[in-house]
Amino acid sequence: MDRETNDRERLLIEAAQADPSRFAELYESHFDRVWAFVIRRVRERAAAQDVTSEVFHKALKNLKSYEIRDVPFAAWLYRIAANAVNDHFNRTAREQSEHQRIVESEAPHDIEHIERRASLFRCVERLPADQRRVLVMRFGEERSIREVASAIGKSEGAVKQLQWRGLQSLRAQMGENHG
Amino acid sequence: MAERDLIERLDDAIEAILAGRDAELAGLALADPELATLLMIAGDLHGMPDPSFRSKLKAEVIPQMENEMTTMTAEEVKTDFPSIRPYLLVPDADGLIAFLQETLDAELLGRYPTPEGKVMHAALRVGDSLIEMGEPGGDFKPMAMALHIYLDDVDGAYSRALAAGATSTHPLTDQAYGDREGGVKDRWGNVWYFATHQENVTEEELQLRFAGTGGKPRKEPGVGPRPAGYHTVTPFLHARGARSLITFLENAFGAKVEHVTEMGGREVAHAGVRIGDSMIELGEAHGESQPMPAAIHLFVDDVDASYERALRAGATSVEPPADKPYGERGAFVIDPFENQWFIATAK
Repeated sequence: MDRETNDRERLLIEAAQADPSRFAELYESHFDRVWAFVIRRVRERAAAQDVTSEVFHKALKNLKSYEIRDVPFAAWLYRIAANAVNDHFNRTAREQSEHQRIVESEAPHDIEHIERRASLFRCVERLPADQRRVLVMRFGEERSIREVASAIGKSEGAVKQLQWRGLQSLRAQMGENHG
Repeated sequence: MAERDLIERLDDAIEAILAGRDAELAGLALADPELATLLMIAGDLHGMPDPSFRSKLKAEVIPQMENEMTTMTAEEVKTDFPSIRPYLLVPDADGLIAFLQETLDAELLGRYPTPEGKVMHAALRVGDSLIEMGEPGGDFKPMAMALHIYLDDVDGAYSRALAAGATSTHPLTDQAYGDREGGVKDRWGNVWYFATHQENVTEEELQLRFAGTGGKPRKEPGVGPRPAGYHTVTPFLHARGARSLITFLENAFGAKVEHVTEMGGREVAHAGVRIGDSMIELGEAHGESQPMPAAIHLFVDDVDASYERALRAGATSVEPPADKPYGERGAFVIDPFENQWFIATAK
């Protein structure tokens, strides 16, 4: 994170600490990484939504005690997310061993992968509108080609083509981001 | 491999990803290196957040979200947008937003979701004008309306609209009245007249042209893209009894008639009336041009007085004037021609 971004984030945090209704921009800029962290561990979408919701509620509740000099804001959120995921698996003890396996085998590269995935989610926002809508419906809402076609008033062939073009655009964008 | 085959194979593989059939993927990916890289991205996209969850959680977590809306809508009100703003009421408003972005290079200024993630209210800048929209519900029924858009690149807008799924109502033509104009209908049923004004034609000359004795349409240097007094976006009301509608607009909103073109000396073929800083166009509905009312967000100096005048002029009240949480005092009436008026005064 460059210095300018750092300064801007510090201002946003201070504003939200003074007035919680100003948390919106921080929420928008960190939502994708929290979601990517949680969905990687809690594979089931409804459960991942519950855990993500818990993370943001806790973050806002504890925001006043956050100190920027101790730890970057993203790392602070990851810590809350890790605790929320642990709580989730403690509640659903049967899946505990699966969770342990993921954490132990993938931890060193985990955050890097999560950041890359969060940045991919953000790239979707920058796609041309028709490609974006198809990818969001397909991957975010897990709708079939037929359902997408009917919702956007295009043929199934046209939807598949937009899906193809959308993934190509993302590949190009991710190439630019990562060199 | 032909692109069509690749597109199909990619979709087969995405189906496998979405269904969690990872074993199938290896084979599909190995078949083609082009597919392999796209499938890595598709694999990472699997599990991307659902936007409606994102906005619902935001509304739930952050206190006083309504305040943010108040501020942003008040910003829209404060800016110098014209006082007449068409209000489109359509299902799948996100689709219409995408259509306007693709066709008219519209800039999305604000999108305020319902708890379910649908569009409660959105505002887009098109040229110097504002188009607003929301998804139907409660008192607000879906309605298709007609809009006149004046712009430089009318040919580009017309072809982009067709490419984005609209159908042509009439092809681009240099019209007798001085506009190069074509029309399209979007998939919500709204009709868009795309035009660039290229010649100032007097009413006398226009009647000669209709009679076949006038000059040919031509491009006049230094004219356009809009006729004097028009903004980029103008609602077009197709009404049965257009002359009575003009009287209603005069009585209710103090409209001033700027021009009327008659056909056969009786019917109003086209009229332009001014309300405040904006124009409304209207014409008699008959034949293929059936009545097409509009929903309009109209800013006036005194909403209470305008509301009373509108009722006296024959409108029906849906909501009397009240202070709204989004920075305006507003009322809602429907006129005898089924046009919906959201009358407002900025607070």
